[in-house]
Amino acid sequence: MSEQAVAKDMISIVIDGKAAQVEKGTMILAAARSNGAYIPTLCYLEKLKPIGSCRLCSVEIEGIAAMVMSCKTPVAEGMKITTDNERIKKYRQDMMRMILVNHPLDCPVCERSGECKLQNRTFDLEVTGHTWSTAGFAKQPVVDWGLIQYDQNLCIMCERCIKVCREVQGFAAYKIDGTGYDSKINTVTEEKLDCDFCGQCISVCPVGALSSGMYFSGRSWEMTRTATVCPHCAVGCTYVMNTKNGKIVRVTSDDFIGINNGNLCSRGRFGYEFIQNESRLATPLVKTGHGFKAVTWETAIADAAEKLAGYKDKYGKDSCVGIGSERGANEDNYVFQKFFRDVLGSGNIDNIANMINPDVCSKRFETFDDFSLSSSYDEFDDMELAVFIGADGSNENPVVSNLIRKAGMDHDVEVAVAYSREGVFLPEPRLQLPYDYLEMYGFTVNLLASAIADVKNSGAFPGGITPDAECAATVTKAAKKEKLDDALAGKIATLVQLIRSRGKTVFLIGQEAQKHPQSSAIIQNTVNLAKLAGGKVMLLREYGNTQGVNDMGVAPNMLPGYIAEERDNLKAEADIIELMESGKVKALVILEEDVLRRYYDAERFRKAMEKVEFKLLVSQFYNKTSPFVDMMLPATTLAETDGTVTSLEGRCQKSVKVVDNVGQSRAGWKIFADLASAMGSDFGYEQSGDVTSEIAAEVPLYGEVDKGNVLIDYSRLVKNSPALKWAEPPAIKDVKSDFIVLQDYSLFGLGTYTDFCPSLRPLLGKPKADLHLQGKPFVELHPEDAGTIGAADGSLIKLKFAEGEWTGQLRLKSRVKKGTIRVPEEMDNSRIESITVNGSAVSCVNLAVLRG
Amino acid sequence: MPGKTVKVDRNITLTFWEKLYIPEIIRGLYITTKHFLPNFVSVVRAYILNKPEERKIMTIYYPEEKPNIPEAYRGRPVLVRGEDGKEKCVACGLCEVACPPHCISIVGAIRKDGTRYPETYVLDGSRCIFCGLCEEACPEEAIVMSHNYENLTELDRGLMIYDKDALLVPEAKLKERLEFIRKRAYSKCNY
Repeated sequence: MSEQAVAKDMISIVIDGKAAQVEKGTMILAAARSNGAYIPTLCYLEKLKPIGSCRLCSVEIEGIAAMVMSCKTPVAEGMKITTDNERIKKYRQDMMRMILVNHPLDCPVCERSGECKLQNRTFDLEVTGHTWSTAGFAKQPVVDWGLIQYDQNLCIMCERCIKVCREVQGFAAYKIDGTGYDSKINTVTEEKLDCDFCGQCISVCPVGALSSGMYFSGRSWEMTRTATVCPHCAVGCTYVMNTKNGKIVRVTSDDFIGINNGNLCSRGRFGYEFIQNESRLATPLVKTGHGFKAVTWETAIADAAEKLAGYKDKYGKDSCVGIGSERGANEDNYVFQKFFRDVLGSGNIDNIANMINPDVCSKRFETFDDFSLSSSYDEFDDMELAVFIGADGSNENPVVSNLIRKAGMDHDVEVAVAYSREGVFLPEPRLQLPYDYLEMYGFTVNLLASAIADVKNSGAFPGGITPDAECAATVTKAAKKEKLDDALAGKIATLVQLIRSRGKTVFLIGQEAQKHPQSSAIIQNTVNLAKLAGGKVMLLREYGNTQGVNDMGVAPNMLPGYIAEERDNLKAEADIIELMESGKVKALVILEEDVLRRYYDAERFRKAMEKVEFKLLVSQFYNKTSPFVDMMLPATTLAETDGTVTSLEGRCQKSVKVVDNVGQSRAGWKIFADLASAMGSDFGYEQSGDVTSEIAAEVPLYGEVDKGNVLIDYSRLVKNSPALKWAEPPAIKDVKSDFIVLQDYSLFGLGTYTDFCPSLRPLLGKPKADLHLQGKPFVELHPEDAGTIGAADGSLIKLKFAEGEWTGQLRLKSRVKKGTIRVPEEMDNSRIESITVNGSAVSCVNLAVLRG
Repeated sequence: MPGKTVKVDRNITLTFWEKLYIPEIIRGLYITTKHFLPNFVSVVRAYILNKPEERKIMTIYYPEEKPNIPEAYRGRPVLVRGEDGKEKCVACGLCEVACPPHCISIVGAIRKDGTRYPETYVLDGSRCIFCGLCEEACPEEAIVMSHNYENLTELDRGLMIYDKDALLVPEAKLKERLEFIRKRAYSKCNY
């Protein structure tokens, strides 16, 4: 029976005289390639739908006189295909000559030379001369679109860039202009390129027509290519660092390695300049009366060790606190916590994500006991509905959105986005649920109540559970308290129907939900909804190793692998800042983190820092925290050390050493191992692999991490409970103001690293198309709101920060929710004290005030 | 382990005439004399009888006199400076990759007008084997083998590393060689 079922979908064809069985619906090209026949292609790309512009893949089919494009033609029963003979070769050569007729011989100055598909196909097909020529071919100037440059002369009109932009990025920034030999690629607006600058078009361009605006001094054959993990956000993309003579010159991608299918965003593709930036700290620095003084490693380590040991002896074990890194490798964080727990005897360590919201970090498995629902990218393969809750899909973790779009190409996937503004996922989904930021909890509880009511009326969702009456009543009661406007309520009903009609649902929870004052209740409601719908939940993470730093136990009361720490000297709810403010803390150690930039209440942290006697910062750069510390030790970035990082889906991947350490910088694990040995306990590590092996041996979750790429199985931490769990939200602070300041995520924001990426820095906080015009940074507002405060498009807006002032331009966008002011990522919303438009103050409130 | 014994034919079987020995000596002396006497007479006529135009000898008085270098001669590789004063090199790196002893290293850069040029072009003369593959690889006729063969060795190897300044030669001085490489046979048979 099963054999028959298989045979039903299989078709017998003959390829070059050999019989083959292929699945119904396969294109001839794919069928031929899987059966070992070589068909040259130029425009075909596996991750895109067939384009069919180059015609090189033409084959002969018995019974059909004309050549058939194999990339676009599905196989049929009994088809007899010839992939190569004299006639086909001649045809392909003629096609090649047509393409080459206007292609200038600029190979010596073309960036793509050496890895050019056109060069390779010309060589393969033995095209050795021109048969035809065209008249009147004037050389066109290169168009500069900022990070992307377009050379019309080199363009062979394969349309890959247009397709990748539409199908993978969902953006549609390009179109074709003109016809015949005059045709060229142009932006849709026919002006400057206004897009995400993801650079996908550069990576798919077979020739050098689209190239990076960042000139790289080298040729493709001079590059050493090292595949490693992108450190910027938590998706865990694999990218390929290209180095020449030990210098990183560019980043490329590979469609066939890693989880990202060759997709990268602007952060990954262009954000590498910080690694070998001149501003990197080169030596240990000690604060003196006037500025920092360079010292040797021996002096610095001995000095720091003496001080830390002194505080430990004099003031007890809890006198030292530490902040771990969300960007450092698991190895760095493991040795960091080991140093604190074993050498200093202090469990007062934390990481910033955990300080902002412990419920989604170290207490994740306690608070939401049903994270057996947690999802990996593999689930996108049969996903039918993706619901973003408080997630700016395109800007926070752009490659996750790419993977969702790719799933949508393979089978029908519907997307629904709930965010505090519209238009954050592209192409814009049919269902967008823009809620008011302050009503986010109300939105989720209404959504849950609506789903429960639907279960009552029409029975359980496929694969989902039925809620018990008590819980259902609680939710319904809570939902009644939270009144939503009719439009949103209508959309909620549509979403519930969508969840019912679709099968597998994945809920993606983003930063807005994770950083909301009522975050736990919001996420609990979403988890409950996932249980009802029989779906999965994916927690999107902000930085490269936000998952790993918590897995490594850099959190109070939590040993590596989420094992509760049992120590008598430990305060159960020790908050690092409270400890610092109490004056009990004498030493603060920060590992690769810019706390004053990232922590939402920076002013409070800075004041707390003043009460600490000795502040040690292990960092790559002189950052915003640096002026307030006493000693800085230069650390390596992920590109200079071997290590492992854990992505948001819990995939632990190896990050490989690409370049030599900059200056005298040392890896984080090495610094803390050195400090430990200076204080009398030798950890015995010689290389990072030793730490990885120790993690594999000591941390139960990470049992096979030393073997390489592993998907960590968190199921042992999960107490499966089929019932819904009700979480009462904390009351949101009652603030009286007209506006709430919200921050838009930017694809050009890399945290501290942004300041050291000269190519990306100018893009941050500006309208992208205006980049070339030296445009001013902008702030967005709803047009009606602008009317009430008497401002117009382009009005000057002044933002006052604790650190100073900043002037920008007002942009009116109807997609912004009323009552909100959207500032770019660079303008940390939590630090904005006041906003002035056209000279008159606007009453506004920021996140730090809301969180209390 | 003892190997197989192979009988080697050393081809030293002499003929009867050769075994006589004396005739061969005379034959050798004849060749020596044939070269010596005309030279000797020529020198005597040129410098003692003061008729230098009648000199017919092969050797020259180097370095006072310089030999005529054939156009195919491969001397020190040099970069061509175009008539506009800029280097012709576009930093494509083909010479770098073609060079068997890896003596060339280039760092490219881009001019304001969009054209490319080598920011640094270093040729290690102590490694160069004068094979001329760089010249053959060059798509821009920007590096050629000059007829410069003098003062190429130094006691200090550091002095043999040529930078762009030391390598650039005006196009006018290299006309002969440039014309030669344009008509070279092997540049046609590949295409």
